[in-house]
Amino acid sequence: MSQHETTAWWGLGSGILIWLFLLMRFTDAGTIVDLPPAYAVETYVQMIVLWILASVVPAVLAPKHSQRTDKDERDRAIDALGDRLEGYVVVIAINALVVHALARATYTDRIPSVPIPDLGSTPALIFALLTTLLLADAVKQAVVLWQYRR
Amino acid sequence: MTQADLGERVGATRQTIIAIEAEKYAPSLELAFKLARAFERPVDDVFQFDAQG
Repeated sequence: MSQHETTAWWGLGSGILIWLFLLMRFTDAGTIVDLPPAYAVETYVQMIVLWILASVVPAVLAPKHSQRTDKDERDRAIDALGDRLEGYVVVIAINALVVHALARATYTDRIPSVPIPDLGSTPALIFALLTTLLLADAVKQAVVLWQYRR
Repeated sequence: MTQADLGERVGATRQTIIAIEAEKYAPSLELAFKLARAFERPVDDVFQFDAQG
């Protein structure tokens, strides 16, 4: 397994763990809780630190001066495909959030039985946006792994 | 010559050499010429273009 593939596995695993950390902090029994602002900021900072550490660890553990750590044209092509699909996921997810917000504003009053969750609160919006970023990153790592493994 | 040696000569990883051999990756023109040069063969001795894909 190449260093880049190992890094992608690490990125996918750490991304899932960071999302579970967010889930633990932002939700209670499947519902987004109304976090105090200080607690939300603390969670956000912790998440950023975890994400930076998760990004740095594979580079630190990589064998030094090894050809395995240098990216060649195939690695760069795979990275570019991953980045492109990551961008698509962000665009789709942000549009889904916009459509969701519009649907809720438009239809909740008219059809109260339509179960559209409220993302209007600050914690819900933060959770949705951070989930979007983590989902996009997970898709990128999954695409990279698929390309290396196919 | 091992796959790792060849990779080192042409500036590619061993995994890329394996992927090219298995026809899972089509190298750039530059890499194709480098590989041909490493084998001291013309490029169309090393790579054949299949129009059917």
